[in-house]
Amino acid sequence: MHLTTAVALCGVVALSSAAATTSVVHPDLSGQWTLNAAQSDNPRDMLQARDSSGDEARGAGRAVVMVDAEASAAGGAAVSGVGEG
Amino acid sequence: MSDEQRQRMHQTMQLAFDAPAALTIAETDSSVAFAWDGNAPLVLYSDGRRVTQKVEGGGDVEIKGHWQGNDFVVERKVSGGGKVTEDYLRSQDGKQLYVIVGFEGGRGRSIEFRRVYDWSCLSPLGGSMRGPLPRL
Repeated sequence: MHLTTAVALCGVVALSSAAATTSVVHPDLSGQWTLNAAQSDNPRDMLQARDSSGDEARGAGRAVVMVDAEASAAGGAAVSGVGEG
Repeated sequence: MSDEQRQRMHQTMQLAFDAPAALTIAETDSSVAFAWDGNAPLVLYSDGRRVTQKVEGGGDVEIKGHWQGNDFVVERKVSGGGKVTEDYLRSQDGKQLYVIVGFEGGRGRSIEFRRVYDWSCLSPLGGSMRGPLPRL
C-alpha cells in the first residue's frame, strides 16, 4: 500500500470516528404513559397551602407563590409571588 | 391588568395546571410527537422550530421543543399571556416519566411542580421501540 493511500485511509477513519463521537444520543421517551396522581404534585393544592400558611416568603427551594385575588375573581386560582424562594 | 390580559393569563394557567391523564410520545431522530387524551398529535422538532397553535377565542400558543441534556424541554408561550415550560425526563429504570412544569405569569409570578407518569405500553404512534416490557 502506498504511503499516501495509507494516510488518506487513516484520515477517513479519524473523521468517521470523530463524527461518531459527536453524534448525540438522546434517551427514548416513546411510549404510552399514564398519570400517577399519587406521586404528582397538585399545583392548586400547592397554591392553597401556601396561601393558607400566609407566609409566601418561605419556600422549599422551589417557587414561592400566593393566590392573586384579582385574577382569581376572573375565573380560577392565580399565581403570584417570586420564583426560587 | 386588562380583561384580555387576565383571560390570556388564565389560558396559560390552564395549559400548566390541566394534567393529561394519558400521554403518548413517539420519538424520532429529529422530532418528538405528543398526543394527549386522544387529541391530534403535536409534533415538535428538536431543532427548536416553532409551531403555532390557533386557539379560538384565546391567544395563539407558540410552541417549541429542544433537547437539553437528557431532558426534552417544551416551551409554550401564550400570545399576550404567560409561559409554560415542561421538562420531560425518563427515569433510570425507564418505567416512569417525570415532567417538571414551570409557569411564568410575568411580573415575577411563577410556580414549578412535578408530574409523574407510569409507563404502560409501547407507543401506537410509532417511533422508537425501546422501553421495559409491559406488566402483565
